[in-house]
Amino acid sequence: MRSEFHMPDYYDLDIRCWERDLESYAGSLGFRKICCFSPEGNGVEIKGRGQNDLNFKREGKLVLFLSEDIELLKRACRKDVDMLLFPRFLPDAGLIRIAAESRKPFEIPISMILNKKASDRAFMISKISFFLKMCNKYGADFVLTSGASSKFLMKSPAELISLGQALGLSPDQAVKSVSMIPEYVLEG
Amino acid sequence: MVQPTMREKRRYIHFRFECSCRLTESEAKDEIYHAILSFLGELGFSKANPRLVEFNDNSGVLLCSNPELQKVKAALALVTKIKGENGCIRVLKVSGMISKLRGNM
Repeated sequence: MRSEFHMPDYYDLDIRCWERDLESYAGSLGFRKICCFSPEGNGVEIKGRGQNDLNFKREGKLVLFLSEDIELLKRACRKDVDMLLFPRFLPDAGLIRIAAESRKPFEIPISMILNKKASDRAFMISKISFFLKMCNKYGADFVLTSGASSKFLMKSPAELISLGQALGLSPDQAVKSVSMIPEYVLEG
Repeated sequence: MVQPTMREKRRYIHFRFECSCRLTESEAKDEIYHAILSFLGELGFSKANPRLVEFNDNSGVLLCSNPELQKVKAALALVTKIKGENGCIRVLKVSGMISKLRGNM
Protein backbone atom coordinates (compact mmCIF):
# COMPACT_ATOMS: atom_id res chain seq x y z
CA MET A 1 0.00 0.00 0.00
CA ARG A 2 1.32 3.44 -0.92
CA SER A 3 1.51 5.91 1.91
CA GLU A 4 0.17 9.36 1.17
CA PHE A 5 2.46 12.26 1.86
CA HIS A 6 0.94 15.69 2.21
CA MET A 7 3.09 18.78 1.85
CA PRO A 8 2.24 21.10 4.73
CA ASP A 9 0.85 24.58 4.12
CA TYR A 10 3.26 27.32 5.08
CA TYR A 11 2.44 30.67 6.67
CA ASP A 12 4.42 33.84 7.35
CA LEU A 13 2.69 35.68 10.18
CA ASP A 14 4.77 38.85 10.27
CA ILE A 15 5.24 41.07 7.23
CA ARG A 16 5.87 44.74 7.92
CA CYS A 17 5.18 46.17 4.50
CA TRP A 18 2.24 46.37 2.16
CA GLU A 19 2.17 46.21 -1.63
CA ARG A 20 -0.65 45.29 -3.95
CA ASP A 21 0.92 42.08 -5.26
CA LEU A 22 2.46 41.03 -1.94
CA GLU A 23 0.17 38.05 -1.42
CA SER A 24 0.85 36.66 -4.89
CA TYR A 25 4.59 37.20 -4.35
CA ALA A 26 4.34 35.31 -1.04
CA GLY A 27 2.41 32.60 -2.89
CA SER A 28 5.22 32.31 -5.43
CA LEU A 29 7.68 31.83 -2.54
CA GLY A 30 5.53 28.97 -1.24
CA PHE A 31 3.28 30.52 1.40
CA ARG A 32 -0.43 29.78 1.61
CA LYS A 33 -1.19 32.85 3.68
CA ILE A 34 0.62 35.81 5.20
CA CYS A 35 -0.20 38.30 7.92
CA CYS A 36 0.68 41.97 7.39
CA PHE A 37 1.10 44.33 10.31
CA SER A 38 0.32 47.45 8.31
CA PRO A 39 -2.92 49.53 8.35
CA GLU A 40 -4.18 47.65 5.25
CA GLY A 41 -3.12 44.26 6.60
CA ASN A 42 -4.84 41.56 8.61
CA GLY A 43 -2.80 41.94 11.80
CA VAL A 44 -2.50 44.48 14.58
CA GLU A 45 0.56 45.00 16.75
CA ILE A 46 0.11 46.20 20.31
CA LYS A 47 3.19 47.69 21.92
CA GLY A 48 2.94 46.98 25.62
CA ARG A 49 4.47 49.77 27.70
CA GLY A 50 2.04 49.79 30.62
CA GLN A 51 -0.94 48.07 32.15
CA ASN A 52 -3.36 50.17 30.01
CA ASP A 53 -2.05 48.58 26.81
CA LEU A 54 -3.65 45.30 27.87
CA ASN A 55 -7.12 46.81 27.54
CA PHE A 56 -7.49 46.61 23.79
CA LYS A 57 -10.42 45.82 21.55
CA ARG A 58 -10.04 42.89 19.20
CA GLU A 59 -11.26 43.85 15.73
CA GLY A 60 -11.14 40.53 13.95
CA LYS A 61 -7.45 40.91 13.22
CA LEU A 62 -4.56 38.82 14.42
CA VAL A 63 -3.15 40.37 17.60
CA LEU A 64 0.58 40.46 18.26
CA PHE A 65 1.55 41.69 21.70
CA LEU A 66 5.06 43.13 21.85
CA SER A 67 6.71 44.15 25.08
CA GLU A 68 10.11 44.37 26.72
CA ASP A 69 8.47 43.95 30.13
CA ILE A 70 8.32 40.34 31.32
CA GLU A 71 5.49 40.96 33.83
CA LEU A 72 3.35 42.62 31.16
CA LEU A 73 3.90 39.69 28.80
CA LYS A 74 2.89 37.27 31.54
CA ARG A 75 -0.37 39.20 31.98
CA ALA A 76 -0.88 39.31 28.20
CA CYS A 77 -0.82 35.47 28.18
CA ARG A 78 -4.16 35.56 30.03
CA LYS A 79 -5.67 38.03 27.54
CA ASP A 80 -7.01 37.46 24.04
CA VAL A 81 -3.73 37.84 22.15
CA ASP A 82 -2.60 35.51 19.37
CA MET A 83 1.17 35.86 19.55
CA LEU A 84 3.78 37.26 21.89
CA LEU A 85 6.97 39.05 20.91
CA PHE A 86 9.71 39.53 23.44
CA PRO A 87 12.49 41.39 21.57
CA ARG A 88 15.02 40.95 24.37
CA PHE A 89 14.70 37.13 24.19
CA LEU A 90 15.69 36.75 27.85
CA PRO A 91 15.30 33.10 28.85
CA ASP A 92 12.81 33.78 31.65
CA ALA A 93 11.50 30.40 32.77
CA GLY A 94 8.40 31.91 34.41
CA LEU A 95 7.28 33.69 31.26
CA ILE A 96 7.94 30.70 29.02
CA ARG A 97 6.08 28.36 31.38
CA ILE A 98 3.01 30.66 31.49
CA ALA A 99 3.07 31.01 27.69
CA ALA A 100 3.20 27.22 27.40
CA GLU A 101 0.27 26.76 29.81
CA SER A 102 -1.88 29.34 28.03
CA ARG A 103 -0.85 28.08 24.56
CA LYS A 104 0.37 31.50 23.38
CA PRO A 105 3.19 31.13 20.87
CA PHE A 106 6.25 33.38 20.79
CA GLU A 107 7.09 35.04 17.52
CA ILE A 108 10.69 34.69 16.33
CA PRO A 109 11.22 37.27 13.56
CA ILE A 110 14.28 36.52 11.42
CA SER A 111 14.53 40.25 10.60
CA MET A 112 15.92 40.77 14.10
CA ILE A 113 18.95 38.76 12.97
CA LEU A 114 19.07 40.23 9.45
CA ASN A 115 19.06 43.82 10.73
CA LYS A 116 22.18 43.22 12.78
CA LYS A 117 25.80 42.96 11.69
CA ALA A 118 28.91 41.05 12.79
CA SER A 119 29.13 40.38 16.55
CA ASP A 120 25.66 41.86 17.25
CA ARG A 121 24.21 39.33 14.83
CA ALA A 122 26.13 36.51 16.54
CA PHE A 123 24.85 37.61 19.98
CA MET A 124 21.28 37.77 18.68
CA ILE A 125 21.56 34.26 17.17
CA SER A 126 22.90 32.97 20.47
CA LYS A 127 20.09 34.67 22.45
CA ILE A 128 17.36 33.32 20.17
CA SER A 129 18.90 29.81 20.15
CA PHE A 130 18.87 29.66 23.94
CA PHE A 131 15.36 31.12 24.08
CA LEU A 132 14.15 28.40 21.68
CA LYS A 133 15.90 25.76 23.77
CA MET A 134 13.97 26.99 26.82
CA CYS A 135 10.73 26.98 24.81
CA ASN A 136 11.33 23.34 23.90
CA LYS A 137 12.13 22.47 27.50
CA TYR A 138 8.88 23.95 28.85
CA GLY A 139 6.75 23.05 25.82
CA ALA A 140 6.04 26.61 24.66
CA ASP A 141 5.11 27.13 21.02
CA PHE A 142 6.96 29.47 18.70
CA VAL A 143 6.41 30.77 15.18
CA LEU A 144 9.27 31.54 12.81
CA THR A 145 8.47 34.61 10.73
CA SER A 146 10.43 36.80 8.35
CA GLY A 147 9.38 40.15 9.91
CA ALA A 148 10.17 41.55 6.47
CA SER A 149 9.93 45.28 5.85
CA SER A 150 10.52 44.85 2.10
CA LYS A 151 10.19 42.16 -0.56
CA PHE A 152 13.93 41.49 -0.45
CA LEU A 153 13.71 40.60 3.23
CA MET A 154 10.92 38.07 2.71
CA LYS A 155 12.12 34.50 3.02
CA SER A 156 10.74 31.35 1.48
CA PRO A 157 9.49 28.54 3.78
CA ALA A 158 12.60 26.48 2.95
CA GLU A 159 14.84 29.39 3.95
CA LEU A 160 12.95 29.88 7.23
CA ILE A 161 13.28 26.15 7.96
CA SER A 162 17.04 26.27 7.26
CA LEU A 163 17.40 29.28 9.54
CA GLY A 164 15.36 27.49 12.21
CA GLN A 165 17.71 24.53 12.00
CA ALA A 166 20.68 26.90 12.22
CA LEU A 167 19.09 28.23 15.43
CA GLY A 168 19.18 24.73 16.91
CA LEU A 169 15.75 23.36 16.04
CA SER A 170 15.25 19.85 14.75
CA PRO A 171 13.94 19.60 11.15
CA ASP A 172 10.48 18.61 12.48
CA GLN A 173 10.31 21.50 14.92
CA ALA A 174 11.43 23.97 12.24
CA VAL A 175 8.74 22.75 9.80
CA LYS A 176 6.09 22.84 12.53
CA SER A 177 6.97 26.43 13.42
CA VAL A 178 6.16 27.66 9.90
CA SER A 179 3.23 25.37 9.17
CA MET A 180 1.20 23.76 11.98
CA ILE A 181 1.60 26.38 14.71
CA PRO A 182 0.86 29.43 12.49
CA GLU A 183 -2.16 27.56 11.10
CA TYR A 184 -3.41 27.00 14.63
CA VAL A 185 -2.81 30.73 15.42
CA LEU A 186 -4.80 31.81 12.36
CA GLU A 187 -7.66 29.49 13.21
CA GLY A 188 -7.69 31.01 16.69
CA MET B 1 41.66 6.86 -5.60
CA VAL B 2 38.92 7.39 -3.02
CA GLN B 3 36.45 4.58 -2.47
CA PRO B 4 32.85 5.51 -3.36
CA THR B 5 31.74 5.05 0.27
CA MET B 6 34.49 7.40 1.45
CA ARG B 7 33.62 10.07 -1.07
CA GLU B 8 32.09 13.26 0.31
CA LYS B 9 28.33 13.56 -0.29
CA ARG B 10 27.65 16.76 -2.21
CA ARG B 11 24.61 18.83 -3.03
CA TYR B 12 24.09 21.35 -5.81
CA ILE B 13 22.19 24.52 -4.89
CA HIS B 14 20.50 26.49 -7.63
CA PHE B 15 20.30 30.13 -6.50
CA ARG B 16 19.47 33.54 -7.89
CA PHE B 17 20.61 37.02 -6.86
CA GLU B 18 17.58 39.29 -6.43
CA CYS B 19 18.91 42.81 -6.76
CA SER B 20 18.89 45.74 -9.15
CA CYS B 21 22.53 45.26 -10.24
CA ARG B 22 24.12 42.67 -12.49
CA LEU B 23 26.98 40.64 -11.04
CA THR B 24 29.99 39.07 -12.68
CA GLU B 25 31.07 35.57 -11.72
CA SER B 26 33.91 36.80 -9.51
CA GLU B 27 31.63 39.30 -7.74
CA ALA B 28 29.06 36.54 -7.15
CA LYS B 29 31.76 34.28 -5.80
CA ASP B 30 32.94 37.02 -3.41
CA GLU B 31 29.40 37.73 -2.16
CA ILE B 32 28.61 34.04 -1.58
CA TYR B 33 31.92 33.10 0.01
CA HIS B 34 31.80 36.19 2.24
CA ALA B 35 28.24 35.32 3.37
CA ILE B 36 29.18 31.73 4.21
CA LEU B 37 32.47 32.69 5.84
CA SER B 38 30.85 35.34 8.06
CA PHE B 39 28.05 33.00 9.17
CA LEU B 40 29.92 29.70 9.54
CA GLY B 41 33.45 30.93 10.27
CA GLU B 42 36.64 29.40 8.86
CA LEU B 43 36.05 25.95 10.35
CA GLY B 44 32.44 25.82 9.18
CA PHE B 45 33.47 27.06 5.73
CA SER B 46 36.06 24.28 5.43
CA LYS B 47 33.42 21.67 6.38
CA ALA B 48 30.83 23.11 3.98
CA ASN B 49 33.47 23.25 1.23
CA PRO B 50 31.39 25.51 -1.06
CA ARG B 51 32.31 25.94 -4.72
CA LEU B 52 30.64 28.07 -7.36
CA VAL B 53 30.15 25.69 -10.28
CA GLU B 54 28.20 27.82 -12.72
CA PHE B 55 27.10 31.42 -12.90
CA ASN B 56 25.19 33.23 -15.57
CA ASP B 57 22.71 36.11 -15.61
CA ASN B 58 22.54 36.56 -11.81
CA SER B 59 21.75 32.92 -11.17
CA GLY B 60 24.03 29.98 -10.67
CA VAL B 61 24.87 26.69 -9.03
CA LEU B 62 26.78 26.28 -5.80
CA LEU B 63 28.26 22.97 -4.72
CA CYS B 64 28.51 22.17 -1.01
CA SER B 65 28.81 19.23 1.33
CA ASN B 66 25.52 17.48 2.14
CA PRO B 67 25.75 17.49 5.97
CA GLU B 68 26.28 21.27 5.92
CA LEU B 69 23.55 22.02 3.37
CA GLN B 70 21.07 23.57 5.81
CA LYS B 71 23.77 25.83 7.25
CA VAL B 72 24.83 26.99 3.78
CA LYS B 73 21.18 27.72 2.90
CA ALA B 74 20.81 29.68 6.15
CA ALA B 75 24.01 31.64 5.37
CA LEU B 76 22.64 32.58 1.93
CA ALA B 77 19.29 33.56 3.47
CA LEU B 78 21.03 36.01 5.79
CA VAL B 79 22.35 38.17 2.94
CA THR B 80 20.61 41.56 2.88
CA LYS B 81 23.04 43.69 0.82
CA ILE B 82 24.54 42.93 -2.57
CA LYS B 83 27.25 45.29 -3.84
CA GLY B 84 26.09 47.77 -1.18
CA GLU B 85 22.47 47.79 -2.34
CA ASN B 86 19.39 46.08 -0.93
CA GLY B 87 19.01 42.56 -2.26
CA CYS B 88 18.96 38.91 -1.35
CA ILE B 89 20.00 35.47 -2.53
CA ARG B 90 17.09 33.11 -3.21
CA VAL B 91 17.66 29.37 -3.09
CA LEU B 92 15.51 27.95 -5.89
CA LYS B 93 16.24 24.25 -5.81
CA VAL B 94 18.63 21.73 -4.31
CA SER B 95 19.67 18.51 -6.01
CA GLY B 96 22.29 15.81 -5.85
CA MET B 97 22.76 15.93 -9.62
CA ILE B 98 23.67 19.06 -11.56
CA SER B 99 21.83 17.79 -14.65
CA LYS B 100 18.51 18.05 -12.80
CA LEU B 101 19.21 21.71 -12.04
CA ARG B 102 20.28 22.45 -15.62
CA GLY B 103 16.76 21.56 -16.72
CA ASN B 104 15.48 24.39 -14.50
CA MET B 105 18.05 26.99 -15.54
